[in-house]
Amino acid sequence: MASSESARVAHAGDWSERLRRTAAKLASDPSHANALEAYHAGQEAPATVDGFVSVTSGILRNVTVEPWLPELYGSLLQRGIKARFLLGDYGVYERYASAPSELGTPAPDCFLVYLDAGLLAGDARHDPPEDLADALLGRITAIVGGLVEGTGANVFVTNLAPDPHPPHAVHGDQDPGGWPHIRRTVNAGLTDALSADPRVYILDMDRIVGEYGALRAYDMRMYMTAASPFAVDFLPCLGRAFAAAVAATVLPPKKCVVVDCDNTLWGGILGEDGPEGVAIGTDYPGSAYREFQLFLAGLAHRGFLLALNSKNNEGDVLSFMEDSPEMVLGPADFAASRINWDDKAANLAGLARELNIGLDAMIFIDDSAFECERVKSALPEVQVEQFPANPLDIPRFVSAIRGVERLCVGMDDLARAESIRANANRERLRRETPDLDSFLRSLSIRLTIARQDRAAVRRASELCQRTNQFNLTTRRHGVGDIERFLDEGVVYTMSMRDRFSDYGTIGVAIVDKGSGDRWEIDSFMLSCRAFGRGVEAELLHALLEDAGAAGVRSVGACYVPTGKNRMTRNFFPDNGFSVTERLDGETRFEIRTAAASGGRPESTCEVRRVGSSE
Amino acid sequence: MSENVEAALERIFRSVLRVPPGEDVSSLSVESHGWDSVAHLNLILAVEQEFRFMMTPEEGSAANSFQRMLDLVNSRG
Repeated sequence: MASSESARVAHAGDWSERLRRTAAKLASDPSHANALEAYHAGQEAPATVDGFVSVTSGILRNVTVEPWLPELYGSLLQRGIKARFLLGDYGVYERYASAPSELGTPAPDCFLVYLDAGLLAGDARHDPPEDLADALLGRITAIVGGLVEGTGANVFVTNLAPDPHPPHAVHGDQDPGGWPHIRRTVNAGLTDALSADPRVYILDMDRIVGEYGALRAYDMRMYMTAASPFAVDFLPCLGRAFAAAVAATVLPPKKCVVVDCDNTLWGGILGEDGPEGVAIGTDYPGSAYREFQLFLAGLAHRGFLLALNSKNNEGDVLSFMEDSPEMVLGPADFAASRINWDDKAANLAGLARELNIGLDAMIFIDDSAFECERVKSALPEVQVEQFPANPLDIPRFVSAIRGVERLCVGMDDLARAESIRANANRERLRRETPDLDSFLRSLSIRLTIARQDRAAVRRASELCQRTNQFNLTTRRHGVGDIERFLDEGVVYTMSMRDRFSDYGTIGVAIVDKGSGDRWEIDSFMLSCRAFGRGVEAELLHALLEDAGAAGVRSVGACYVPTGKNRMTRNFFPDNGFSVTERLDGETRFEIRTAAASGGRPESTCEVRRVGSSE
Repeated sequence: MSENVEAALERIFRSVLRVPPGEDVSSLSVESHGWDSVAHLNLILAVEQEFRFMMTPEEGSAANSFQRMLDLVNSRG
């Protein structure tokens, strides 16, 4: 036992490379046999593998999903996620919904609920009773509700898939009481009932099956003989759809899309073909490039930053973008740009510094294989997408770009992008105002520190997922974890405005109340958008003030170094904490609440406290 | 085609039934270890996908050994 254990540890380092090779093989040949081989091999991998996020998914279903698992596993692996599945027994999904622990261990991070419409509705599809839609909707929402209440996991639920061979189709298309209408009513009802829950995501089978074609997606033979509805060639589509949704919940989101200009934003080369010669507009091929610009504009509206990285004369590009009536995007839509003849990898590094985001939050799109390879080798953290040479391939390229999926867009996403754009103005003011304190005062910063704000759960979890630099412990709490802290501890969220913009929620502090007379700071983080203003001290001060008021004698804290959060190593000592222990790189601190209030410098911002004190 | 039918089928059986390299595949049947109903379903799907044909349900259940699956592929593929 001991020797096999050590052999496994010795091989653990090879697994990263092995899983990466498997993912690459599946990308080029997603056959069922290949996917099965990868899936089997993956079952032997250790629980955690460097470079891969481990996710356990419970599956509740009323069909045979076993043949899907290799494709689900393979699609997730290609996104850097190593999956394990816990399957509920066939057809008894309602029992697991009320007792999720019966699925086994470890407790799933997420659930997939797949209910086949035909098997769920049964004979009633042929002559639907009046209450069929309500009955189906009630069953599905009860299952989802059971999982949400009984676990802290995210729930992915498919809506009712279209029939490949709908009975009484012509009549059903007219009759509001017919099955096709009922299916649509149930699906609309699911969206209404579930979309407000931050832990529930609907996988739209109309889209997923529709993209492939219902007639091809189903294998009626397997459906009728083995309750296995889908054709083997459709399974990778199902896998991709599931993987995209899971990735959007567990991988750090991308923040910025950096694009090339020539043969990417428009067809042709501006410097050679001139403003009249490049293709952009409503006629093909310019229409294809216009479509790409519209896609980018849509991303900007959903909170992504756009940036330019182009080998060109800056004046040519800017005046063309400014003057051309055909351009969708103008210079003002880009948060930053590097239009020069320098190395594009160096330009990207400069853009990351200017926008104060990590390289791993960037997607770089360029038509040149050389530039793509250059960036891939110099900056492996950057996601590189080579833009297609043929304009006809642009729509497919656009829909396949990974990392731009967001399951929902909060106002905070939009505010974040707006505030980063506003940073340029602020930097200018900083240069004109040499003294930092008077500069900060001139910003008229207003902070709102909320305690136990349940409406901010999703945003608090987002900050836990994506904050790397000012993050003392980098614990990636999900929505479920935050909800637990709301019940058992204290969760602070801090939002910020200044005279330039509204930043939304920019700080989170989470307290574990422990036995009562000592609090422990589990997490403390500040979004990079709020750096350099001293507002983190305001959040810490609010927390310590509350601890004192609650009769807590001391507050403990911890700094866990990650390679990205070095800037925070002195945060606690700078604010009066003493070091109590150094262990495995971690440093533990403590402060007596009685000593916490003295000696604070005068605040440069206005602070408002909201939320219950207990 | 660089790989003949039997070699391709052997590769699929190894993937689906997790047969280690060096171990014989040609004598496998539904009685063998690991060949359960899910494995049988996966075998049918992988074989059909590889050789681009569809089995009837009767053909699928009759293909209960490596040899019978090979005969079926040779007659249909």
